[in-house]
Amino acid sequence: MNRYYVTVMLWCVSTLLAVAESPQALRGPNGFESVRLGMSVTQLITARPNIKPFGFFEMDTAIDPIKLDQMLFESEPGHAMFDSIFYKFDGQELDTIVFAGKVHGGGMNQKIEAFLDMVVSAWGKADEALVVGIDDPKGSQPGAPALMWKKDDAIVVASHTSTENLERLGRGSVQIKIQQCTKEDMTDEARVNNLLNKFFYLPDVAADKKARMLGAIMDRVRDPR
Amino acid sequence: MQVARSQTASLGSCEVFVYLAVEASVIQVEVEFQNSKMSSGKVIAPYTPPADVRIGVVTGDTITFKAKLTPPVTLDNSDYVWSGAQSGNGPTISINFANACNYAEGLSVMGCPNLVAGVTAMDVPLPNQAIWAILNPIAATAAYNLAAEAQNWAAANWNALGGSSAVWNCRADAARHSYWNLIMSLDPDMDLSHAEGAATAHERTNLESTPNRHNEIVMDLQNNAVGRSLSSGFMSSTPRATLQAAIVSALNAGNLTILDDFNNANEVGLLKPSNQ
Repeated sequence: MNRYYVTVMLWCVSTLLAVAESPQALRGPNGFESVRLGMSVTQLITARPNIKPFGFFEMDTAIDPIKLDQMLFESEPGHAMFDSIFYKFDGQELDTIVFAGKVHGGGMNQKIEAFLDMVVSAWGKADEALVVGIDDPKGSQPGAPALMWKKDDAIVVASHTSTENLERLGRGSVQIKIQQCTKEDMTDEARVNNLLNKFFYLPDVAADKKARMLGAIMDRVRDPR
Repeated sequence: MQVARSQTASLGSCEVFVYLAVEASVIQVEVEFQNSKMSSGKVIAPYTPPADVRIGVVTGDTITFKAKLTPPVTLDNSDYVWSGAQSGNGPTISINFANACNYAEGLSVMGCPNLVAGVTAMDVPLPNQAIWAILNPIAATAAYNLAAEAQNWAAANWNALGGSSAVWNCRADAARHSYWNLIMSLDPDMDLSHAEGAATAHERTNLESTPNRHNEIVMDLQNNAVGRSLSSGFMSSTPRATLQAAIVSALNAGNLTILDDFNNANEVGLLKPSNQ
């Protein structure tokens, strides 16, 4: 084997290793393929040029690419389902992403169905269904049905306003929360609960109500067998 | 040394006659306060008419109070009697304000009527605004947009609201915070709980930032609360002009809070009503 082939082989191996080590694609809503957990602020600015710092009364503040633990924000990102996206950094690594969209007006139930189809299309059938808190306003009942995926590098939770609250309020929301984590995190229930507590106020919901809420989404959960 | 009689007393000072050896003197007594960021004390000056002037602190802060005598005279420790938030004797007393509450610390020197220093201590609980937004993304988006609206309203009316150029802590700043909380409380995507959560999370972020001026945080928290309390009289459909008029009315009535030193270097500013 001459020196040329050795060089080419080494280049191929190093390239494959680099790809393997790079943060995985988001596998989320269409249009966000260039966003990856673990990416830097500078990389996110390139991927999503309309992001800005998140802070009340800080609308005119420029992004500081070297600031640690910052939160960036994208308003009206051009996606049919979402009105805003939050990007939270742990140090200088993108650690948490939250997609949020309002649902109101006609056809709310169809919009919720479209949302559930979208997340199953992105991540497959969910690992679990659970009830979480969601920030429905004024007179809402606690609890929202949610699907959860435990990936090797992330925990993903997709939730939506319950049917009961949609009828009661005439409005609601769909939300996806993605948190970077390790494979070990996913095998430890306490760690999973810690991650969920970063995302949600976990409500105390009566068993019959919980069963009713989850009944509507169980066909999107993979068979545990 | 003997007290002849006490003469006058107001919010910030009083005068006592004392005999020093064979010579009678008049000594003015005032109360100073000093927080951990101030290099020297500041007299809690009286206002005319007397106003509810208070020191703003975050729970856990310590304030040192000092009796200032003019001309300087050495008295016995027992001649100084502190009472109220904490009792003690001597020319100074340091008090840690551990609980959220309105406090009054009184000083009596040689029988001079009590001089009272008011203190407002407030909690600034977790979470900060980033964590709060992750928990409440829909409400956070509304709060963000409404903060921009309040900012623009205050900026467009800065002088009319009594703004001070290039600095915060003035009437226009107070109005901005109060208006933000009022419109958040009425927004269809939020409720009173969300409005309080967003506004307090914002102050928590300020507390975690550098510099973090505790008295400004207390000022903001108080103005935020006033804005939310006004919401009970209105609906989400109430015209913005009506809501703005309500804020201006509260501002002129002195229901909002400003600082007596807009620059507030080293947190020397005292809280005072917005019509003072």
